[in-house]
Amino acid sequence: MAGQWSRDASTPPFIDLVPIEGATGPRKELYDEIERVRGPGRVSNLFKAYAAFPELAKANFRRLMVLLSQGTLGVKFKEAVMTALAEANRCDYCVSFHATALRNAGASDEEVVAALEFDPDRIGLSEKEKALFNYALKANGDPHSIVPADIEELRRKGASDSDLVETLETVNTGNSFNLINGALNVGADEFLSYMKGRGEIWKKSA
Amino acid sequence: MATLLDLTSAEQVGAALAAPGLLLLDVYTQSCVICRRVEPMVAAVAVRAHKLNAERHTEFTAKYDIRGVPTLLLFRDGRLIDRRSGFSTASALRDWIGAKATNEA
Repeated sequence: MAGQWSRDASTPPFIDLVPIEGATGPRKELYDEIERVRGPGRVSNLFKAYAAFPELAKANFRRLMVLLSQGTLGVKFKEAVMTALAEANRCDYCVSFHATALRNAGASDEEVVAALEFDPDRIGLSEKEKALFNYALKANGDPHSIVPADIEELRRKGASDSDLVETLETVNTGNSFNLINGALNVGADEFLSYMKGRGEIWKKSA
Repeated sequence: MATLLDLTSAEQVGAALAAPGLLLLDVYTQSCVICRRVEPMVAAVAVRAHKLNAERHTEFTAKYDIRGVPTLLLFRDGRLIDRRSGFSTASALRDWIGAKATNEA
């Protein structure tokens, strides 16, 4: 499965990633909104790709902001899940993006590596978050394999209905971004450097 | 995360089974979506692990009674000590292998 979704670095993206200075109309409105939240120049390539459908891009950006800024689960937990999903999905851009975000949420280098090794015991998560991390991986791996005993275990660790939905939306969001980046061959942003080039490691070990 | 070596020949399978210690063998098929999902989990577990295409190794799958994929076979010194089917998280695999390694020691 090497490179299943990972981009081909020698091939340009399959759609036009309009730079910030070239954006007009609804695309510029989107870019402006992202820069207001993330800072000048930090319009990610993912959203430059999404901007081919500006209204959908705006909805997706707001969805991401709701996911990351609201709910009851911490950003470190959600970024750990999205880092693990990016690794599982072989999306090198997404690994770089979410590993950077995971570091920014307070994780150490060792904890980022643990997320890439799908090991919640070494990420500095609570018992509930560890169980939810594995729930996220199982939902991604085979949602129909989740049985009542899995939910009972999550309940014992204190997971609420809201926690389950928030975790599953983290999976959905991570996966949808992985898919867009893979299918459109979108490369990592210039402003990212941490864990960049993960795809080359996958190729070497294949 | 390493990628699993695909055992493409009967000789490779024989050599893998002949090597001492634990071996986790991920039996898959090309068209199996859950197989693609479980492979990174298997590769992240700190034990010698390879994969084997069920459609290329029909004698092997008959010998080990493989009825579906993914099937994960756990060997010690070439002897099958346990098996499991379907998707597993890396945590579940670590717990499983740890328990089997202890019980079988």
